[in-house]
Amino acid sequence: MRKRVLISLALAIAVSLAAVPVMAGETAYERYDETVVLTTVKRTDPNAKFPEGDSLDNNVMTRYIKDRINVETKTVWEVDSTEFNNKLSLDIVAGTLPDMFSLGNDDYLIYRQLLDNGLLADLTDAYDANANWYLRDTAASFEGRHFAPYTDDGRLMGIPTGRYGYEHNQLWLRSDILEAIGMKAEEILTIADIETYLTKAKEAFPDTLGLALHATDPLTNYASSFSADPIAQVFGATPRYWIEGEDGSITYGSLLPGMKDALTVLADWYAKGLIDLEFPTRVGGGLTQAVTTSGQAAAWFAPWWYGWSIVDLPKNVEGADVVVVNAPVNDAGEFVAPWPSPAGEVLLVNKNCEHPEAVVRVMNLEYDMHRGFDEEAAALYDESRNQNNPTYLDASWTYLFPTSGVNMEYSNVVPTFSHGIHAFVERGSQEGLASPSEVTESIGIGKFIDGDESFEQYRGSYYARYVAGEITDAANVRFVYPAYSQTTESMADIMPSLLTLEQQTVLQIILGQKSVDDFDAFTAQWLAEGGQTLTDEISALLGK
Amino acid sequence: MRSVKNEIYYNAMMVIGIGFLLVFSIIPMFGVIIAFKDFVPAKGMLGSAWVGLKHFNRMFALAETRNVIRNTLVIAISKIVLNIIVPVSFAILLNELKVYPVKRVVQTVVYLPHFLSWVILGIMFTNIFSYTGIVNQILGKFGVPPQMYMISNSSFRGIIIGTDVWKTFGYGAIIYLAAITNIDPNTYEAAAIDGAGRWQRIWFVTLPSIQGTIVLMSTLALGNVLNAGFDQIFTMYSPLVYPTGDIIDTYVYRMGITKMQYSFSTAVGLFKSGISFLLITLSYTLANKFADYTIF
Repeated sequence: MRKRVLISLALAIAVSLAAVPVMAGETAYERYDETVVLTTVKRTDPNAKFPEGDSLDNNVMTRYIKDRINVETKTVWEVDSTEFNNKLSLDIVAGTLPDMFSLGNDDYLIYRQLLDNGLLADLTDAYDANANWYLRDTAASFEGRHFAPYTDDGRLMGIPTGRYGYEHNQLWLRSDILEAIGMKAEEILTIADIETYLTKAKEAFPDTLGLALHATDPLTNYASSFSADPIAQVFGATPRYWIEGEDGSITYGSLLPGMKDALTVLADWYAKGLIDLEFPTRVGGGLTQAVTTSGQAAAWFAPWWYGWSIVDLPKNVEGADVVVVNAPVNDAGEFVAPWPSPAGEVLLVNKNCEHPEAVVRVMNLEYDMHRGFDEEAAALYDESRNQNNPTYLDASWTYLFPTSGVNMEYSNVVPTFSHGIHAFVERGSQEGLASPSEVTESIGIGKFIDGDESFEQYRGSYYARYVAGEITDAANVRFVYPAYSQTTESMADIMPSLLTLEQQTVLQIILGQKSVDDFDAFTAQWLAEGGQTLTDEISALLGK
Repeated sequence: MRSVKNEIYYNAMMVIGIGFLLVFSIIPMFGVIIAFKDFVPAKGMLGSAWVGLKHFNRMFALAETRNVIRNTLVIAISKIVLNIIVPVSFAILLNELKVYPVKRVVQTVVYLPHFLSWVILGIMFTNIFSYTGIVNQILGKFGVPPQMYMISNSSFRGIIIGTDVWKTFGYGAIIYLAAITNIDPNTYEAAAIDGAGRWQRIWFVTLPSIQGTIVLMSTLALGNVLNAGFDQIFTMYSPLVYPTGDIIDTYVYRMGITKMQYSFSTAVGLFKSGISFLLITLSYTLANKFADYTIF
């Protein structure tokens, strides 16, 4: 009951935040008279090498922040991202939490533990009074939904970024194969069309392996390369998502009836040799990717950013090229795709931090400089991004941010940028481009399309942003939203075994070791071994 | 003659070693208390709530854990048995070989695999047993349809046990060869004069003479009954062969490190350590009784 109230309060806050568009907080840029020092911890960026004299706590961005609002950053430690949570746990235990630090959405339980132990600062007032127009505007593009998981009793306990959408899996095909077998990408729409393509591809090129599939998770959720989940989506199942049915009941998406239809298709394709026969053995990192870059795969499912992963294909196979389509579509012509969980990363502030509002002001300045909203700052930043300062070119940009690990974007940044590039390349219009860095990339992609060989390094951007990103928001794309995306405590206990069971069942059915009818037994076992408990728990949480 | 003065130096030299042992082996052992708690990193080991045997009860209630324990026992016991029979047979056969250069080359070559790590061998065997691998190519010549051995529950255990024996038998044979070398040649001559053939000499002279070594090696191996070989299985398995290939160590790794179920995986690990400790005690007692071999 209490949680239900919480969520409605959270939504109320979220809506009120969203309802105030582009109004900066009153004290967003207020300068401190005495220097404020914020301690933080970071995940190492292997590509970062600072120019002489510069460091993580003294670089073009921290100097700008110090100059504007008299706030300094002190990085207590930085470790490899895989070690970050362990190291942070030690800090929690030892009571030496830094002033601010970021967590990913998968670390939700850590956030809950910090919250339950009263270690986090209440950021409601700090955010309200200090967030600038960009923070508010990006938040508004998510309609504030991402605030709910990080709101407790109506108070904002962290500053989450919305997780931008459109990273769903699309169907990647080989355009050279299409041409050789006399088909067109626009003709590939339904499951049957894909099957025709795979069959003809196999006949024309017996050495190819058909559809590449993920070795352990052939049907999983959002932004997972090689998962064939679009085939489940088209039958109305959303694997690995908690879904609200039409009657308001909560179901685990991998149990929906459409899963059986999807498995029937995949098992049939596997039996016909249209799927990479050895896909389950490609467990090691990069093995499935190698199947696509070596030209063996005729098709695979992957998000838009797979463009950067496939750049070696034309080097490996003469004349090979790729094209991306929104397939398969259902009877209504819709391509159904999952929408991610509302929250991405989150910035948390230690309860003992004396100036939580300073954290928000720092965030304002980060984007003013990086996105060029402050022209002077942008000039400084651009000047630093030259060949003499490889750091600022190679390191991920959020690494320089004192609040590193948190990246605020608009919810539709992916298709918007792609449309902007198309407008620029085709009509020379810069209107759709949001920053100087986007203009640079658009010029590069344009030159690459014109066949300028010195712009070969833009091949990845071309596939990802120009080809795949462009159709992520096509008119026939319909999104399915998760009903619940965080981790509950019993989920952490129960889910690992249930996931193993699911992985095995799905693999065994595709390989023909089990029949599709065995899926009902799986459903029963899944519910009996704790799945029902989870379903009840989440239903209660959502007040269903 | 001993003097206190002498002993001080020796004891001083031991301090470093004992210090290391304390810091890296003894003190961390107190961490096992999280098996009886609901460990929450934010609360720390001492601050987390006690839950008694909750995790152990769950461990025995889960079909998954029972399966893992069964796999561990089947794989480990098969390995132990074969890792005695094969090296002993090999040592005896090699001993019968009278062409010395060949004998030496063979002995060196067969123990080389022992020095290769499973990370490398895992990839090698995955390729050898793959759908287009050499095994399928050879069997294909005899009309056997190709199969994916690495993801088949009927062959995975066999491959795990077989490759392990292949890797270690050469090295394991060294100790038996040494034992055979120690046999007094007079006993062989006496047996020959009494009319014993080659097989009879092996059966009545060689085997009884190395019996003590065999018993000793077998009892010592008992302590490994729950060690089915993490490195090997981890590099070779996949979700499809969990039913026959998942062992306690790989399970603890997956639950503890990748799924962050610290308390539960500690409970499973502690269960394994407890049983192993009993078995090691038993094996040393037996070794002492049957082979006069004492460690403590």
